[in-house]
Amino acid sequence: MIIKTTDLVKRFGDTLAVDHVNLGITQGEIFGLLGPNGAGKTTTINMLVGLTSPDAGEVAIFGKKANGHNNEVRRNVGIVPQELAIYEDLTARENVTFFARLYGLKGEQLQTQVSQALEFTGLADREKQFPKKFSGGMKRRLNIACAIAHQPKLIIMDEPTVGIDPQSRNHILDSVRLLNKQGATVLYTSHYMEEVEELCSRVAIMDQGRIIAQGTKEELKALVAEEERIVIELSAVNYTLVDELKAVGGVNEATIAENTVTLLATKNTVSIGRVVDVINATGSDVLSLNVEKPTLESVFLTLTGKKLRD
Amino acid sequence: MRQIFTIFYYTLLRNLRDTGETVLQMVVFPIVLIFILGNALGGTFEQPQIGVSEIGYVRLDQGPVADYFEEFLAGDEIAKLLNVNQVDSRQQGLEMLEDREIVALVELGEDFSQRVMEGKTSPILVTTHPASPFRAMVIENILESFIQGGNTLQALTSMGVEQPEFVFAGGIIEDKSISTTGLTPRAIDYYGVTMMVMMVMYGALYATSGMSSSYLATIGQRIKTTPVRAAQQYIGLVLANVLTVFGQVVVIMAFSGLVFQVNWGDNLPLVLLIALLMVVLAIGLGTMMVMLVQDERRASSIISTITVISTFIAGGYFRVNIPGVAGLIQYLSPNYLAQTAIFNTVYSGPPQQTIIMIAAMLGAIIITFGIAMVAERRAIR
Ligand SMILES: Nc1ncnc2c1ncn2[C@@H]1O[C@H](COP(=O)(O)OP(=O)(O)O)[C@@H](O)[C@H]1O
Ligand SMILES: [Mg+2]
Repeated sequence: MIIKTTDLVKRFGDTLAVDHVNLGITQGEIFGLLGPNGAGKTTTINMLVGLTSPDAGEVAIFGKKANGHNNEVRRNVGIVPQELAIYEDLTARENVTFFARLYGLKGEQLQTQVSQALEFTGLADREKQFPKKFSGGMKRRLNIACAIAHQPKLIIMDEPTVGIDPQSRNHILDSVRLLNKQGATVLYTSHYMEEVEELCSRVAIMDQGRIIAQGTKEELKALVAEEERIVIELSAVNYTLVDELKAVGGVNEATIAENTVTLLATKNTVSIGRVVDVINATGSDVLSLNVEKPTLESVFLTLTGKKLRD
Repeated sequence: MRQIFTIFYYTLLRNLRDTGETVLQMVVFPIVLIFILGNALGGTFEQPQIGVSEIGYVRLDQGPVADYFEEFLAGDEIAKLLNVNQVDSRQQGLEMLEDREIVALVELGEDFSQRVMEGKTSPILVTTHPASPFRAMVIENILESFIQGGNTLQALTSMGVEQPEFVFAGGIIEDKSISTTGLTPRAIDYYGVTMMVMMVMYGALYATSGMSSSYLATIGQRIKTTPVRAAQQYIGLVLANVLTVFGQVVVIMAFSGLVFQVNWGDNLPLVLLIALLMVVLAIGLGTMMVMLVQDERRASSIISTITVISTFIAGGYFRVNIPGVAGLIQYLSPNYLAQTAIFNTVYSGPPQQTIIMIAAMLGAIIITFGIAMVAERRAIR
């Protein structure tokens, strides 16, 4: 286990920010911590890295209890904070060098690895510029460069793609994959379901301080995905249609709204051809038909009764 | 050590880069103020403030220059400032000085006229009470104007005498905390010191902004996750800010000394040491404030207000004379401690007073940093 937490608890006044959180992150994976704003993701990370002291529970990183100041552990962790933590009045290269030095790099190795980090985040040709002049995406990438120059074994990223253009976002997601391929274990926090779905092998879903589900993506989907949704757009609606569709084998529920029919069906049991035949028999045409597989979004929806993003 | 140096180096780099507005505020602004207050307002600011000072006068010389001197003291202008009490002997004058009946004792020695007319150095002995340094400055200003003033000078030269050199003799009085002062600060000398000290107080703003970004807020948090100990981070930041403000002090002192001839005295190392202590104190104050309120903007505005008040009660903008016990409030002003120590050093005041001021500053430094550390620990995390 690279990270293991046992019943972590943190309160801020009346707010129970983190409520008995148990996480286990193994070597070499990209682990996603998914949850809406205010779920307690940042607070959890702050306890992992010693910025916040837990009210109860334990943290172990690299198998060592992380209480107090352990340079050996810290040297091998890179943190990308949610809020930009770079100096506007130091150049991109100086920013990366500053943090790399704090992580103990020096001499030739310092220069090489700083250059690599800048290269890696696509900032090499702007390394002499001040972040003042950077776009939001470039600042985010610099924020990441400062966390990776010392080549940590564990990289913790707290919503590294918030509020940036799609191009920078893709660049960042590619970088995360590459860092992982080069051997780093990644804890990736986000409230974007798509990112976590795309990037991570295992996921924990967090809401109101609690981990409500944890496992591989498939395991999580299996939790809710006994059913699939079939959404059909029709040219015209006949009100006997609902009952006729319910009679089709595998269909558990059918609803109509305007000229769209939504079926809830047991997974992989419904014959789509049969459904279309029934519709055609009522004199209506199928304009579009969509079989929706479960997503992490629907997992979240099912487990919490609300959407991930409002 | 390497970690402290890294924090120190990059903080200093950022402070130095942050030119433009900061240099304007921290260096150009005080220099301009020294110039304006020292010249434009210099001639007028004392008289309405000070009122009449009682002085004792011992005349042992019967010669003509002493007559001129008495005529000079009896002049209308002088009468507004000085009330001259004839005293028979030095001993009697010193007793009056001790009893605070007079604030200064002026003596003309037996051979005063003789020596002036021979073109030799002619001491006018001035003994002042350290409790009234500003009145002493006024008196010494007046005496200097006697020597250098047009009428006197003309009279003396018409008598075939070269302009006499003005030297105060250093008469030491046994076991009394009464001392003779050396030269007299002109307005520009005065403002050179007070404006420099005021700038140092504003230097506390380096601490409020530096500490909040690099210690408390996002970047500070990030630094805390690296293998750097909080103490190293703290020390590196404080050292860089101290050095930044101290560098500005040196620029102001050098510029005002070379261009405006502001008198920084003979004991430059001691003056620099006092300035350095003041810088550390100001940084301590800024650090304490930001740790207490945990908010850069509020800390900065509190610091600015404190600086204005502290400069005011120390007489930084214009000399203030707070009578009686209320005068003790001046000791709460860091400016006052530093100014008094510097004036005392430059104008050869009693050394023990300098030591008291330095000790008070050291105490204040320990208190501010102590409170800052306690406040930081208590901040919720
Ligand atoms: N320093 C703090 N003081 C008080 N409440 C806080 C503090 N930090 C976080 N919280 C509260 O704790 C909860 C979790 O916040 P956070 O960990 O930032 O969530 P997330 O990162 O998932 O958006 C929120 O309700 C937030 O308001
Ligand atoms: Mg967060």
